[in-house]
Amino acid sequence: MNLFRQIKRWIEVPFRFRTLFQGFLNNEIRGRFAGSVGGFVWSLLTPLANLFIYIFVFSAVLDIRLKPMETGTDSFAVFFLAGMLPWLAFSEALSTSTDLFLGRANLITKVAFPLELLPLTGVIVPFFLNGLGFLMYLGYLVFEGYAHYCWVWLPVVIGLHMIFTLGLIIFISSLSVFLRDIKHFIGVVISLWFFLTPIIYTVNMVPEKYRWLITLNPMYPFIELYHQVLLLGSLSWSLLGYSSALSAVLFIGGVVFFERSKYAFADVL
Amino acid sequence: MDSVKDRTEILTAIDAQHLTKAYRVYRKPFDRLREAVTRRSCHERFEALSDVSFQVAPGDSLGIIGENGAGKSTLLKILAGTVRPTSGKVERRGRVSALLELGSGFHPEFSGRENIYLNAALLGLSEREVKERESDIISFSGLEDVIDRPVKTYSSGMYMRLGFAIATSVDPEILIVDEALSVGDQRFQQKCVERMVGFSRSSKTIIVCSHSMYLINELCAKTLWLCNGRVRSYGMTAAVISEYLAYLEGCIQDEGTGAVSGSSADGFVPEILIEDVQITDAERKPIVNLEQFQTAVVQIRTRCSGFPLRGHVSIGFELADGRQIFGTTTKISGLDFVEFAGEQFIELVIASIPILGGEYRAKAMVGDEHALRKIDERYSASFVVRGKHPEIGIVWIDHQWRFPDESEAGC
Repeated sequence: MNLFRQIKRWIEVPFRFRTLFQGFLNNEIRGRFAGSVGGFVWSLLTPLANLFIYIFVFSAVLDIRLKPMETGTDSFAVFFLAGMLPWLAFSEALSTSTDLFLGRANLITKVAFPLELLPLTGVIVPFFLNGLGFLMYLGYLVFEGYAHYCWVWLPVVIGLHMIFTLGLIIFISSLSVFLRDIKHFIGVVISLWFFLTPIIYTVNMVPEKYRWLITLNPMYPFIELYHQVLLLGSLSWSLLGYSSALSAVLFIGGVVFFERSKYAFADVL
Repeated sequence: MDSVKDRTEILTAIDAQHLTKAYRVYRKPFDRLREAVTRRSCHERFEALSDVSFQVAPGDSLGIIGENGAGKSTLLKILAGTVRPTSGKVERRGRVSALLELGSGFHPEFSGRENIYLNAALLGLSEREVKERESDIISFSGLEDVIDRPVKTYSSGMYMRLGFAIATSVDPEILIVDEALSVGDQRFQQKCVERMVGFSRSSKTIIVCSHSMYLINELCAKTLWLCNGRVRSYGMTAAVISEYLAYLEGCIQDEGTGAVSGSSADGFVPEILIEDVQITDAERKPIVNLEQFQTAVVQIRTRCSGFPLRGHVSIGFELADGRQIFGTTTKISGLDFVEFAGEQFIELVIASIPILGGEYRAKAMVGDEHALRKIDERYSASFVVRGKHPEIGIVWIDHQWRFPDESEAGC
């Protein structure tokens, strides 16, 4: 009952404090590029730079060949971006999460406002920023004839992915208030995690005996869903169920942890 | 005992019951984790507040005084809702706006105008409400010329001014103010004080924590003195302040004689306070009813803690509506400045009081040695003059009736 109320709060707060929430989002999005000449261009440049590096290494140097039967495409760039763009949003949310509460210590100890808004902002902003690149990518796919009615599932997949990310960063942002060390190794975790996720390779390229390791990775079902929906035009119900369960568990776990620890934030910060 | 009973019955704006805040002090950060994992206690307990209770009625104002580290800021944070008490509870009724730090949450890259929106939203205003108040906020802050520049280009004083203008524009029912106001130039400080006095006049609840006895005296009917996290004294402002000042003086003297004193008076602004203004008769007995042409003495008690200070005193009489009847100062009278140190009595003797029947009060003021800056002012309780003559007006003017024409005609 109590848990239900706690979860309900996460849905209510952004509406009840709409002005403040918009203010935070606005601040984050525009604040990120304030004072830089390039502005929004930078949010497109990062995936582009990544794209060229990986295409050069994997397509030109290592000469990896995709099987269209498995992936739905024979273009490494198309395959790579389908996983990389969602990953970028996710990893950006993750790497900024350690500072969500820590970086606003001054505000949290001096002004009473719903702290829930901070993790929510922390998820929405990177998804929004990378969403611009993603839209361009979708446009390219349409142009190349990849469009499929299965794309209606895309919002569901993105939604689940965001809830999963939210749960994770609630957990990490709360924990880093007490354990500041997290900030220092989150970068390493993210880069390791990237290589353990089938973004620059397909699951089938992984030797049979290590494949279980990949499937244990909680990001695997999400990236796999993106691949399926975007390129294969199919949807595996088991993967969808699995990722829904993951999102739900992580989100509820994050909320519970947050609720227990939030009253101590102002003491520790 | 009566008052205790009363308190529970009247509606309160803030009701603080047995507030205690204990912090766990860990010798190293790792101990915190170790404790969480092993469930074995690895900390020392430090009580920043212990068992603090008080009530503030709507429209009342409460001052919080005490030395550094007495727990004032912790108490304000609990009242503002950013910190949870370890035990006890606070009930607040009405919109609360807390000025614990001005300008927290400003984004340095954004313009002053853009920051108004986010900051006001943080304090609970909707976008429409901010729009309505935007021009007020800007004009109060006096930053019209620079409002569209990024706030990183602002001086710290400008920063504070904008912060104060935003926070007070929220129009809260309860305003909580930390001593943040000691920043900014004199003119702006005065504006801030005026705005807060305005708040308290329009029956808002104000809670102020300050080292400025002048401000507390000006704003607050009641005052709470915190000492080492406990309530040392709680009651009418004048009484609590003089108790506190006497205590501080004691500390300074202790230090002077080499005695060990656990507390110091740092952060305290030396000032002259008028603690009392009384109307007495020639025998120095306080009176409320005066006969016209009686000898009256206006007696004031001042206190100057810290360093001795030079100043001038002004005393005058006013009607109930604030119109001044008469006023004089030691400077106008050609006297030398007064050397204020510790407790002092100053009297203005009026051999024969010429005011007509009615209700009046005396006003006393202390200014600096040039009689330029007001340091403190205070009114006496109102007193009544019982007229011997039923004339109309304010003062007695010696007069005679004559009828030259008639007397001629009579001849």
